[in-house]
Amino acid sequence: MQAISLDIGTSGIRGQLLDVERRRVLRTVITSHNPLPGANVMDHLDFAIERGPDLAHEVLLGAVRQVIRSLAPDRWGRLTVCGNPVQLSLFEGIEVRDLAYAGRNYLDSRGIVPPDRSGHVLQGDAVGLDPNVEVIVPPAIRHEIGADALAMMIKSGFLDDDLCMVTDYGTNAEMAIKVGDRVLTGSAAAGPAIEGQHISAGMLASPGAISDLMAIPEGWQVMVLNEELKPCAGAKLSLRGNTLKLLGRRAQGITGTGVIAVVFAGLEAERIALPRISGGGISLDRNIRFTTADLLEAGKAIGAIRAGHMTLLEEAGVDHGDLGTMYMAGASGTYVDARKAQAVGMVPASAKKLVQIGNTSLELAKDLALDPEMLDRLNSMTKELLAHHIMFASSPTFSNIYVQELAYWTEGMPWEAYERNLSELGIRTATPRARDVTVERRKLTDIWDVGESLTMIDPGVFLSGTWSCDLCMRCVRACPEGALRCSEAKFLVDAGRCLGTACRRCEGACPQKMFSYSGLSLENYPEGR
Amino acid sequence: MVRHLDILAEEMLKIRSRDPARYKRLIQEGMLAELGFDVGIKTKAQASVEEVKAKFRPKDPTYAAISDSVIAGKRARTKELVAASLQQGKDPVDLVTNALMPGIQTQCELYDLGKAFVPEILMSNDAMQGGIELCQAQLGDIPKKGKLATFVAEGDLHDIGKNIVAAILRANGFDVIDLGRDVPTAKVIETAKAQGIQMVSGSTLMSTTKAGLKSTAETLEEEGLKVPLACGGAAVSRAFVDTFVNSIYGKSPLDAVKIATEVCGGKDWKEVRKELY
Ligand code: B12
Ligand code: SF4
Ligand code: SF4
Repeated sequence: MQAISLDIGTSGIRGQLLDVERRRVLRTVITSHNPLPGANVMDHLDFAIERGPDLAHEVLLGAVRQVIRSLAPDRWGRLTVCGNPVQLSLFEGIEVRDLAYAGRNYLDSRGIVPPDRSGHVLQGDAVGLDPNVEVIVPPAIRHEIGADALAMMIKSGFLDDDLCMVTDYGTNAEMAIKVGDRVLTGSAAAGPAIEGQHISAGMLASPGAISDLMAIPEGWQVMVLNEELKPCAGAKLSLRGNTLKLLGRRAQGITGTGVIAVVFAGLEAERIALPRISGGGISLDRNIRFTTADLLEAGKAIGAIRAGHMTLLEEAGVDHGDLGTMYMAGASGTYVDARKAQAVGMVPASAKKLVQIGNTSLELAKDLALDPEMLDRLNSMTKELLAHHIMFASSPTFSNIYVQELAYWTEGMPWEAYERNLSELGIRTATPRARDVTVERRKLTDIWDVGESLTMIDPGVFLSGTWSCDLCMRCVRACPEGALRCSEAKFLVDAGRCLGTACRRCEGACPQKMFSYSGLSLENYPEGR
Repeated sequence: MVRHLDILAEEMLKIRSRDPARYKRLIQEGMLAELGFDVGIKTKAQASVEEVKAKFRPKDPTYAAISDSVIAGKRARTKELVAASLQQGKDPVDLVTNALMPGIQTQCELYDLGKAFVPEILMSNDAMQGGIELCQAQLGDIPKKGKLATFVAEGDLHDIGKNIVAAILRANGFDVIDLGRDVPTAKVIETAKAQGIQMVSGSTLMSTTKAGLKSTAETLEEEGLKVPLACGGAAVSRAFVDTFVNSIYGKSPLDAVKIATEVCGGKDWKEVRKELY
């Protein structure tokens, strides 16, 4: 029998076709982006709340169907999914408002009851797929304790280790610490800067993205991802001299790992004197600059992660010096230069071993497809974890530390003051950084095993609308993403390319107030497109 | 930025003796003498911290000790010193205005100059509030510049920014009732009515909870309370705030102080917008 495993991520879907008997990956298909409008889970939630969960479900399902079609399965009977609770709930088409508003008052006053999100098995037609397919959905209890968080703990080796931590370096930055038999979890909601978003020249990891800066005798070598997503040489720059030699591969933007590298290099070369970059920004290629505003965004995200780590260490009662291994999950955690990440503060300074483990979500989906009985174990694990979960939202320790981070990154408060203030507040601070840190790149690519082929597809899900207007095309020209087009008086929005609630420039540009984003509905494209 | 070659040469020699490894690296990269390299000359800056402290430091040594412990952000010590002074029969109002307030004023002025940071203001504020509580217990209410309420919109738990705003408003002499986070509109209205609030400050950081500020501003207006809502937080923009009545947008905690000063000085929301935008 064949089965399909899916990792539904905020920045795209990854799918694999599996041979269940031979326990092998046959092929892999990934989408270039998530099909829902917007760049982060909040934008996706916003879309679902504004337009109704059914439409959001249909959009996501449209992309899932494309992935399945491209995987071209034969005699398949099982589909397993993994991902964060928002994406999994949208996939199932169930209530999501409780994920959008963590405040109890809001939920109670509107009678919103969180649905049961423990792991379960469905018949395909319940989610709009073939009724003969069995769909297995792992538990996704709250924002922070979803199937993706379980995956990073189970698949990294974290659970078999002691005095170690694990973090998924993504927008929500789920993290956990293990001390003896105790596992404490949290989520620092760092924001999308470490994935290269909300950065003026930011982009997701794709060809043309700056992914690293390497030290060379004359200064720094910019590394740019090529068509195979391998880093290759680009421009050379001298940070102190503020000069740039345009060479090699031309870059189009900076990705998350590139952001970390620029912050590291800027601090190292003393071009960054927090909270500013001297000389008004760092030029990395023609028209690509890392600005002081970008530095603030990156700093707030790095700061949230460090505050989360320190909170976990504090609540677990562990001295920073006793920490052993840090497992780094997620695409950013896999591709980032681990030592640079540690130097800027994204990895606790005292961690002695850094292990980069790739995308664990897709691996868990695969395990589940091969061994469906695993579901019970996941359910009982989730219950245990819930008992030791620290809501950073109500943790004064987190608040106190994050305030120091903000001052350090955005006001230029010296590090000595940071440590002094925390010790005044009775919070343990980082001991001197660990020496002789070892780095193990356990996985060189985020997908562990792609099988015979890896194909990238466009999710190609569109929203459309028609109305009678002057057809002046201002709306089309106003779209910063080229996501909107108009043919024969029909307006088509490429849902996955659209920026969503945060934008709406198309609507704003319409002189006749005819353009109606909320009036758009799902476009049914002919099969096989 | 290095402006003078003598200073540069002097600094280079200093770096060479203090940190030879760094010196070597800088020379190797050929960058040490280039402009844009900040060697950090701080003599002038250091003097002014002392000047600011001297400007506010009370003459009376016991008062000076209280003010210093507020600056250092030591709550327990501040309370000890204030309790001792009260025991000696010092006037509570005098203690607040001439011993506790100078401490926070020093900190706020240092902050304006970029010589102190938000966490330090928060800690100093905490120390000062500890002292004020003791004084208040002795003598009802201490004169304030106005009575305000702060809250975070319903559904939103991000309260770090709101706490900073509340602390800085208090440090500037306002009486602030903090309603916390995830606060429904009805609760704000109830408090405004019952407590004679003059202005409310609302914050939110999520796009999904912004609407709570709009409904609060509008309901305050409908109830005819003449209590405007100052709005801020990362999800809030001036363009958004300008889409509803009875509201004023602000970016920083200092904007919140400016808005509160205008409102408590008798201006309505339209006048304040005109004044500050
Ligand atoms: C720290 C943080 C948290 C902490 C909050 C701790 C706490 N007690 O507040 C924790 C980890 C708990 C958290 C949780 C969540 N967070 Co959060 N969080 C952040 C983070 C990293 C920083 C926010 C912050 O404190 N900023 C600093 C303060 C000082 O700034 P500020 O509040 O804007 O206030 C300043 C000014 O605006 C002004 N000001 C404020 N109020 C007022 C009022 C007036 C009148 C005036 C004049 C001025 C003013 O003065 C302040 C001081 O300078 C941001 C991301 C980022 N990089 O910014 C995400 C972020 C805000 N979080 C986000 C999300 C989605 C969440 C979660 C829903 C995520 C999840 N997966 O669980 C949860 C749920 C919380 C909930 N329902 O409320 C999103 C919001 C997206 C959006 N646009 O809607 C962000 C942007 C990150 C992201 N993922 O993209 N988060
Ligand atoms: S919707 Fe508005 S902006 Fe777009 S073509 Fe029609 S009139 Fe022009
Ligand atoms: S202009 Fe409209 S279609 Fe284009 S990204 Fe913005 S909201 Fe989406």
